[in-house]
Amino acid sequence: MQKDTAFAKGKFYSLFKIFSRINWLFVMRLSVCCGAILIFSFSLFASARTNGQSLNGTKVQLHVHQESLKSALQKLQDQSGFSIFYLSAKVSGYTNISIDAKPRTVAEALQSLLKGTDLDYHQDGNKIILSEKKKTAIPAKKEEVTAGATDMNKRIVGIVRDENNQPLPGVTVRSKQNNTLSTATDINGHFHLDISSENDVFIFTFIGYKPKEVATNGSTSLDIHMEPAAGTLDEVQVIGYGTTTKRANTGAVSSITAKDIENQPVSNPLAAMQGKLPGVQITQNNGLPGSGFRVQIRGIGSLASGTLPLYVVDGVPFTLFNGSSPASDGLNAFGVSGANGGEISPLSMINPDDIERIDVLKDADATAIYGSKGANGVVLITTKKGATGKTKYSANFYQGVGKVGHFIDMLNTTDYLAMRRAAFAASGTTPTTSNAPDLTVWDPNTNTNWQKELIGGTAHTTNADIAISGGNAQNTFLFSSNYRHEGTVFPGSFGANTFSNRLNAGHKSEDNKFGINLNVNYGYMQNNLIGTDLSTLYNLPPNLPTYNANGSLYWNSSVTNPLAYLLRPTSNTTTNLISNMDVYYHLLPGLTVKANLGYSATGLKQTLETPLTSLNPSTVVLSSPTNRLQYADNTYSNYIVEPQLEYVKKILSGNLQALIGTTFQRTNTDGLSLLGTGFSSDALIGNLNNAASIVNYGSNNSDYKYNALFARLNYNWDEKYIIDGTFRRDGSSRFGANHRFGNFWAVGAGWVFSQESFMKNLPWFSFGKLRGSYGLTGNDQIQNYLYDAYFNATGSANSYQGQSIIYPSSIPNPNLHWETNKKLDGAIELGFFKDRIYLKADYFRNRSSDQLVSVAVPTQAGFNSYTANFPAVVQNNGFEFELSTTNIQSRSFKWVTAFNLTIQRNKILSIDNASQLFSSSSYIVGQPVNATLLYHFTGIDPKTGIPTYQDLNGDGAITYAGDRAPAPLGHPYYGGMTNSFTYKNIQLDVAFQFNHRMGYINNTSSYPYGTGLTNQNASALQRWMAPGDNSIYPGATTVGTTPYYNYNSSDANWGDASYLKLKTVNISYALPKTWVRSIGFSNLMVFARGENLVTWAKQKYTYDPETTVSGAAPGLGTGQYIAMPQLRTMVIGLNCTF
Amino acid sequence: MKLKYSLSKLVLIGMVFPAMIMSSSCKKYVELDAPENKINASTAYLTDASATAAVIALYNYGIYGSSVPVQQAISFYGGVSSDELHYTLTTTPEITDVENNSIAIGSGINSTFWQYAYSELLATNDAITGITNSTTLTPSVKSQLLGEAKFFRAFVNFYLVNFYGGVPLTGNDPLTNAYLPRSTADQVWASVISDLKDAQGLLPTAYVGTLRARVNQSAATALLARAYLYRKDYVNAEAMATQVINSGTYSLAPTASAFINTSNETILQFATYYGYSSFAQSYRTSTSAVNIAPPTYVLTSKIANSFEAGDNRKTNWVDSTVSGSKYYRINKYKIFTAATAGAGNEFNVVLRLAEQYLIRAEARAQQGNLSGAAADINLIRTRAGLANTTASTSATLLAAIAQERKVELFGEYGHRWLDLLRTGQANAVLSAMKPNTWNATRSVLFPIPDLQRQQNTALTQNPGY
Repeated sequence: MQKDTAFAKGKFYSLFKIFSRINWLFVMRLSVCCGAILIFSFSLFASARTNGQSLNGTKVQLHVHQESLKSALQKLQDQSGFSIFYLSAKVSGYTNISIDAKPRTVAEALQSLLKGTDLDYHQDGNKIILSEKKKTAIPAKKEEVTAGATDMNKRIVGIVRDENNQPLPGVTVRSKQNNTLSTATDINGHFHLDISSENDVFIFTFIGYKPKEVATNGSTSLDIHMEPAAGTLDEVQVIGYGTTTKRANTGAVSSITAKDIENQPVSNPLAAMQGKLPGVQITQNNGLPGSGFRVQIRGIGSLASGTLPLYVVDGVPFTLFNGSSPASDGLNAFGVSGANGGEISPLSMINPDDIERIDVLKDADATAIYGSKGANGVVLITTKKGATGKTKYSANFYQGVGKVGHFIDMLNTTDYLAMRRAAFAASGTTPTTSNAPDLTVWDPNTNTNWQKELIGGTAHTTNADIAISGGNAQNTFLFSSNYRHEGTVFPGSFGANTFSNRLNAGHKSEDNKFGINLNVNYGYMQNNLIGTDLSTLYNLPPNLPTYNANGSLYWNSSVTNPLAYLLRPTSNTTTNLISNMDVYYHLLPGLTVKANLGYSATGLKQTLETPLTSLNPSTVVLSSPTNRLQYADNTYSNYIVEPQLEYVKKILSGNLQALIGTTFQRTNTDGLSLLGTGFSSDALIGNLNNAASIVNYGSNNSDYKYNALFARLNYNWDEKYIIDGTFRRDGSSRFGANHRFGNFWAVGAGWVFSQESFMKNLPWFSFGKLRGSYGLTGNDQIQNYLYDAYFNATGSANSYQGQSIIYPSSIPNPNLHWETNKKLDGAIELGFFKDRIYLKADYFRNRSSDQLVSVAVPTQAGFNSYTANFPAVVQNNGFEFELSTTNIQSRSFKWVTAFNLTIQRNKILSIDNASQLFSSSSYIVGQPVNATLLYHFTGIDPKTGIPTYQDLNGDGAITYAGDRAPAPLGHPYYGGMTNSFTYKNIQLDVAFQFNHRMGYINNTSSYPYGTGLTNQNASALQRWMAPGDNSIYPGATTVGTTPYYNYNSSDANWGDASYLKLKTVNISYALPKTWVRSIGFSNLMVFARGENLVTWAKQKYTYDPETTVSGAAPGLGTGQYIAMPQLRTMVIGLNCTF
Repeated sequence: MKLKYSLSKLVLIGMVFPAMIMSSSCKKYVELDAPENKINASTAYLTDASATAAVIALYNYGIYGSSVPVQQAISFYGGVSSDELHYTLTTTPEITDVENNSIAIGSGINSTFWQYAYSELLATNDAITGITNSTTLTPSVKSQLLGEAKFFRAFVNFYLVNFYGGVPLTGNDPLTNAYLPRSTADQVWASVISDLKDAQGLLPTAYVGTLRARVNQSAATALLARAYLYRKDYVNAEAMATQVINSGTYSLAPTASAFINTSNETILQFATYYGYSSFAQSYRTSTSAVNIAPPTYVLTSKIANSFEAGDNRKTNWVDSTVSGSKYYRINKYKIFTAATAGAGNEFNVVLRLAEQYLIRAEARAQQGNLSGAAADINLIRTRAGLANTTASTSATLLAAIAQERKVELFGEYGHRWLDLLRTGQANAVLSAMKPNTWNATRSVLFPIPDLQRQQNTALTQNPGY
């Protein structure tokens, strides 16, 4: 205890003294760093001062009269600014110490104080270490060391250095004989440990370096040189309820780390994962701030239920699935919807810079420990923790601009009007002021490019982070704070401001037996948008007027004035608290009891205003104003309690790790949706209280309880043979009384064959592992309460004469249970040339059965369906490849490549009694779950311009039921490649993302050409125009018949929807260390980063071939639907540490 | 050392024991109470308040596919099936099929009509069973609610048997209901009449709540009168209509205000939240007198032209608008929309006194009471500003009644279609009007939805499909 307080006091003292000192250094630093970090600059003086301190140069004036040595040392410490380290037991014997109060150097003071004791001192940076005077060396006898022995009478000191001979702070030093005996190196790479035996072996571990074992052989001082690990095989990998290394892992886990995330100017951690991880497909619903993400891990395993992965943030489940259908983890799945779509991604509340790593668990071995929640894969997000060592202050700032990267080529006014005239001519109707104002009323000479007008702006992005972290062997801390502004490309000042704060604190007891770690993250996002995504207005008539001659908004009964949407603001206020605490206690050697306690609370308050000024005046009744305010308030709260017992034991030449634990989790959702109407003035529209009428549009209440018992047994024989077994029994309140609990399990095994003696003498071969796993997980993503008979209550809008009503909610099914997902995985991992080439190849096959679907019942039942487990099997199989190579590694130049590729197939293997499925026609055995049925296009009739199709069933008519065939999928694959080049202080990272698949290629045209007041994309120029034309595009008409409407659902609109994106580029330059140090920093880096820079795609008639709207089928990343694309963003910034 | 010891104890007590206690009650842990916006079905009929909430759900809005879509399907599809309404849009070709009396067996809107009706019936049956079995309700409340539920079962079955012929008579267990075969039309009619008689006995004469928006005894009697008329039980039809007419509660209102929610002519209306009729948005496109675009459903020129000169029903209930072509807008309900709850003064009028006079007139004419029939007709004509009828024989009186029904009840709950069917006129009238598409066998009944027959093989199809 003494050591700690002394250390801390010394530090704070010097810090305090500095407060009064302002010098040029401070001013200069201020100009370099952003203002936000000003306050943290004080520490620089602390280090600047103590660095130059010497025992002989620092004077003190001590007055000690008949005091204990301990208190005298305390005084010395307080005055000198040095931290004094000693063993209490060795010092406590000395009392009655006196020295006079004359000025002395610290060295002189120490000599006086220690005179007559058998203590000696030495200086170690700004620390003074007291030790027993060296006795004549006696060859140490080999002692039996008992674990946990408290008889620590020897001290070992040392320094750890890196490959460049520089001290390495934060290295863990652990005794091999006594697990509880460990420490970490300080900022100067120094460490010391009190030991009971001089003949111990110490293990030095540090991320990114090869672990090193060193035997003391009686020596009390060690000089250790760590070698960097060429690969990342020994990097810690986070898995469910524990950690492992790439080397020892028996499961399929892919990870990205802070290094990969920091390089990208993203606002949501999920965006940073795009294209980086095999088997993981991620798209954003749209490019507006906060918008939802869709993540699929190893394909869609469920016909109709949720395919959301389980997100776990520092042990707290963060998949905010509230039982909505279709399943969504978005925040406003219920309530008011802004331009950014039906949902806000809760993960946008987590600052990407706070994340240490993200590990995606994919196979049974990795996910079965999450039981009925593991089927769709698990995303473990681990945030940064305070690290031991000198307090580190860092600040990161960037600012930049974003624009829509690709616009859709639309017809200009001349071509548009020609198309419209042709359409009227073809159908023999006359354009009138009511059916064709574009031809009869509007100015044929105006030509507005609506995309440029509405989404052609520039979005500004600003991001600022600061973090302070540090600690000593016992206590660590990290504070971080983030501010982010994201603008939009809409006209006007819309956008989101996010502010988040995070605190991480860790404590370990002095004997290392007890530890506690706490994380608290609070985020606030204020997202001001409009109700409509203006990118969807790309097809307005190009000559649509927006203003009348008198300056008022132009109104027409058929087309809403696009400027009116700008007058309908939405406000989305999101708050998010995630807190968790891990505690552990080493009960007995090898036996640890621990617990994970988490609580999260997420709230979203949304409003959407529709003022009178945004409404067509001809529909507005002034006596009962139709201006309105939609209001929704949703909260999610979630707690989790997970007590666990862990046992580690060496058995024969292997390590046994056993874990058993239990989970109690409860999630509450509360939501309310209100509509206020009849505001006497638009100025009062912001407050619901001013509405003449408030209607309750309904509420969203759900409660979910979950309980589980889980266990893992892992045996690692000599780092060569590893077997791993997991089991979970869990119960979920979503399931029927007859099937509430289920058992899930997995077995995994790994054989590190490169450890075998016959492989050891291949110099080019460094690592080889075969692994495989098989097991059972579940999917529970269905609505709550389906198992029992309930009556729903409705809001006031559905009341009858002011009385609320209730009605039967669904057909109860007490037999309801999870979907069963059997996962098989086999993989080979190979390392060559000291792991400079590392390849991982997985084959996986997931089969999910007991599909949770709506089973159709004849509607005379009173309902048309009920939810049940259905005998259908969906299979996802495929190959995943992960290749990382260090292509060049010289003193000043390094080139590293990371490549991943996933080839994946999704197929319905069988459906029994398919006709009973509610959406039976949507599913075809042998085809993917989201198969698309299309008419087979046989060309445009050259005589009429009407599209023709093949009569597949030969019944003489083209019918929806009989003449559509599954669309060909081609050979889908996706992946990404990142190249990183480092030349001296310059780093360049270039990341590509690709997705190869077939899909709709021209869905933005709305057929038939010329119908209604709708502009068309440039494909309309190639349409059939006159008899005899051979075109693949139908003729214009104002009266479409079925063949016209079928055109978009035919294979004429199906083709290569692949794309390749230059996803991110990062160029950074670290300023020369010597110069940086001279102005008081330890690191100063400037950078430029870009995102979504270039897209290569054949699919021209969409903004972004990747955008997928929430809930829209089929598949991810098809670009089929129109929404704001992810912006082409470029930022510049700087990053400093001191 | 002491600290460490107590710390370890603390950890033990704090983590292990609660875990053990909780583990032993795992099963209980994952059991849930109903959330705040639901109640368990077993408790729905325990209290007056919740039983009332379950029964008034039958009136309106509450259940997806409850009475509003049923009412609309009855009125619109019945209207276009006959010579009464015209569907002006092309967006739903299936409605055009109904207008052409050529409904496909796979028709989605037909399937939806069927589904809505049975959804309402399940809630009705559930209420009837639940309330009957409940021992905790106040007797007067129990009687009222049971009467209302029986009225609704009769109401829905009445339309089902008219549109489809015999249909399955379902109960309160969904999975048993699902596979029932069709009952005969006679069995369905028997159920309708029996339910209405029960309702008559259970319901009070006074209205519960405000504005005649809950079923009372007269409403049950009025529907029963209609049912007897359709069954050609003219004695009972006359008796029931008389009972309503003589109750002293109702009187014919001026045509200009016959459909407002305080009209004294109304026997039963279904309240709406904003105070505008749920038919209004399909019969008109604005509250103002000028239509910008044609409404979804307009009166056919045939009906519009069949008003006698000077009929103030044409003046007050029909207005024609020009937007490229001439459209006859049904102007019974004047209010198109309202911004705030209860701002309007129009509900959906379900049963009104005028029909009861016409029922009695017809029943009397059929029984040979010609003067009585004429007297009833003349009440209606007088209110319309017309001179007394000149009809004097049974046949001419019946024709006069048919004419009055046509111009009195248009746009309301498919009266015209059902009248044509029950009087055997459909074939003659509609084959002339729609010669290319009318089929004497097939067109008189809607088809049983094909998907339903696939799912429940016990269902037979109607003739001609």
